[in-house]
Parts: sequence; C-alpha cells; structure tokens
Amino acid sequence: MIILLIISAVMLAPVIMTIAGSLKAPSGYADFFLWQPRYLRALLNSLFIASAGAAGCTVVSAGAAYVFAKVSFPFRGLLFYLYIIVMMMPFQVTMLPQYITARNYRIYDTPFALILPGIFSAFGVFLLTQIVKTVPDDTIEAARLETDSTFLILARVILPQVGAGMICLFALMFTEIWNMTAEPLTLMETKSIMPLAALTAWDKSAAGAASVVIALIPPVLLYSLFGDEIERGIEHYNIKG
Amino acid sequence: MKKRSDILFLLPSLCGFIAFSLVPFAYVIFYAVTESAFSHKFVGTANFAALIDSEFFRLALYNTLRFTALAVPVSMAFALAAALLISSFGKYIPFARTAVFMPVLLPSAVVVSVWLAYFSSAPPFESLLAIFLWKYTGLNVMLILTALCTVPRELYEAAQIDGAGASRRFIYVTLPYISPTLFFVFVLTIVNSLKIFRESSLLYGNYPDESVYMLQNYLNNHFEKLNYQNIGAAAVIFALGIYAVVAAMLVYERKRSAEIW
Repeated sequence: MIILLIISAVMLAPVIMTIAGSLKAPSGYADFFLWQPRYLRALLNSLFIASAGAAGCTVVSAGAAYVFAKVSFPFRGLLFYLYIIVMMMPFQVTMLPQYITARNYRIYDTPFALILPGIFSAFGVFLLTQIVKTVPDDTIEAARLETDSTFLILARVILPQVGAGMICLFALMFTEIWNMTAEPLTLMETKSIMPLAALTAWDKSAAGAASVVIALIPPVLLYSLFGDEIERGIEHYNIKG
Repeated sequence: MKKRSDILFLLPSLCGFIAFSLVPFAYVIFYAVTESAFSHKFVGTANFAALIDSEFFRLALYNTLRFTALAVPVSMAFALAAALLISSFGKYIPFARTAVFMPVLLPSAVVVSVWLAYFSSAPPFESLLAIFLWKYTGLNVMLILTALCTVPRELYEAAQIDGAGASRRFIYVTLPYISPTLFFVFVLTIVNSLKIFRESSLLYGNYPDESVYMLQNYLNNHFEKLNYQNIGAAAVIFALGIYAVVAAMLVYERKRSAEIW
C-alpha cells in the first residue's frame, strides 16, 4: 500500500513541482496572456493544429480500420504489417525526406505540414483496426440484410461500437500532436505559426514556465473527460489476433 | 457478401500513408545508395562503409544500443512489479492507473524543468534513463494491468488449493496469459526508448555529452548540414534494426496464434 502511494507520488510530483515553480514567478502568466501576444498565438496554433489533426485522423483511420478489419483483399496482411512498421519509426529516421516532401507538396512552413501527417498517422489506423476487429461479423451481416449502403452500416452499426475507441484515438492523437517539438522545428520556419510546445521548449523565462503549465492543461483535461475511453481503447493496443 | 466498393474507404488513408510515410522512406533508401545530392550515381554500399568508418556513427550506435538495452528490461521489470502490485488493490486501480499514465501525456518540458531545478548535476546517461523510466513505465503498467485482468480467477484458486506458492502461481498461471502482451510491451518499450531524444535535446542540446550521443542526435545534426548520404545510410540501418525487432514480434505472434489453434 505504501509502495503504491510512493509510486503515485513519484509519478505526479514533477507536475506539482512544475506548477509550484511557475507560481513563484507569476509575472510569467501576465506575460503569457497579456503582454506577449506570441504566446497566445502559439497556443491558438497548437489548438488548431492538434484538433484538426486528431479529428482528421479519427475519420480517416476509421474508414481504413473498417477495411483492414472486415474486408479481405489481396496483400491485406502485408499492407497492415507495413503500417505497423511505419508506426514504430521515430521521426528522426525520415526527418530529412519529410522536410523535402513538405517543400515539394508546398506545405512547408504551413500548419498543414503538421496536420496532414497527423491525419494519416499509422498509429490511428492500427489502433482502430484492432478495435473494429472486435465487432462481430454477424452484426454486420445482419445489417447488410437491411441496407446496401456500407456508409450507413458504418454509421449506424460499427460507429456506436467503436465510438469509445474513436474518442480514445482523438484524445491520444491530440496529445501527441500537442506535445510535438521536433517536427514543428523541422517543417516550419515562421515563428508566428508555430505550436506552443515547440516555441517554448527552450524558453527559460517566466513566461516559458507559465507556458509549460498551460501546455499541461489540454492533455490532462482530455484525460479527465475521456479517461475511461482512453483506457478501454489502449486495451486494444496489442497484436493479438 | 461484401461490396467491392468497400475498399474505397481505405483510399484516403492509403494515399496519405503513401504520400507522408512511404515516399519519404523511399527517399531515404535512395540517398543511402547514391553518391551525393548532385550526382545520383548508384554506389551501393559505399555510403554504409563510410558510415561504419565514422567514429561518430559508431559512438551513436553504441550509445543507442546501450541505452535501449538498459532501459527496456528495467522498465518492464518495474512495470510488471507495479502492475502486479496495483492489481492486488482492486479499489485503487482507477486512481493508480491515472497517476501512472499521467507522465505519458505530459509535455517533455515538465520533467525537464523539474530535473534541471533539482538534479542538474546528475550524470547524463543515468538522468535520461530515470526520465525515460518515469515517463513510459506507466504506459507499460497500464497494458500489463489490462492483460492481468484477463486471467481467470478460478485458476489462481485452483492453484492455491493444489498448494502452489506465489511464485509458482505466477509462472504457471499468470505468465501464459500475459505473454503476448509482455512481448508487445517489450517491442513497444524498445520503440519508445528511442523517443528519449526529445528530453535529451531539451536537456543537453544538439551536441550532448559523449555518453548520451545517440543515433537520433547523429541524424538530427546531419540534417542541419543537409548531409544526405550519411543521413540516408544511418536511417536505413536504424530502420532495419527496428524492422528486425518488429518482424520478430510479428512472427512470434503468428506462431503463437497458430499453436493455440
């Protein structure tokens, strides 16, 4: 029991210390919100980029997940393996080509340089596929008898069952995009469109301390709102079956 | 009775996947086997040979392997112990899960700022190790906890009646049920151990101490110099390493499922 408390304390301590530390210099908060607009702008950037990326990812991955889980086509296994391998690669492996493709696609130095890769994240497809696999085939067959439109089946039958998983994916992708520091620095130049985490990562000023605390809020908020869904979703983060 | 057109639902993801994941990787391979940014002459393994000659690359490879080899077992051991501990406290599971998962969600700046304030004199390698353990063990705990819940209670009781002590119960009842998850956690932890670069660059900048100069640093620094060949070759080696580990896991999982059936 004591060990449990110690573990919890160790896990939560840095958070509390960071918050306490930032309160020692409250001028940082004033700077953040009032006197230095670049922080607020970065905050809005982060909100926009992370929301768009996470939302797009949920939608795109859901479609792909249905196909991987329920529709057989040639090389399906191979393609899924490919998604898994890509999912496991750290950013540094492809950072240079990503820089080059971003320029070629003309999204370099725009929010889309972060949003689009987020939307097509392999992790999203992987997670939702595992979840859709748990929907019984019979349910889908039964729905087939009612309607011919796959879209309707997706919306009425599959969506309710994997809804929790989609919320989980949204929360996790949002958090991942929200916390990115290396990608924005590689794929963006203009400070005014940079997200908060990248802009303030090396910021040691009082406002920097404040922004670290502010950056905490959305992930924690998402977790407190959707913690159940997140945990249930992560249960499917596995390779069984 | 599936419609042919169903596959259209895969199209958006597939297009994006090709555009943002496969195309960049094709570039990587292209750079790895050509002569320079200008000549595009095929040179096969020359770049790889040059890489192995490079002292920096060898150092980076060594450090990366060393970090992962240390971080993964320790994290898994902690996670397993913590999960077993937490699972015996039914009531507190939700709170413990939240506390333990929180570090995963937090921006790296949080732990970095705390570390700088209190532990800035700690040796770099151990610092990164500690930070990694703090941040990612929670995720492993959650995954293992979930797996632990799938073990049927009756088996434990039956084993106890048969006189099995705690360790025998663990080896013969618990382990078989959580093995697939453990393996997945193993691979996942390896992959996550590579993400420590974020904290490393926040703490030590782009050119850290010798003991923590890792492959990601190598790739990152050469990116600034636009050194295509080095990056390409190093990235290919890096990717092959990851691929080998993931492939091993997938093969193992395949064989295991086959055995069950």
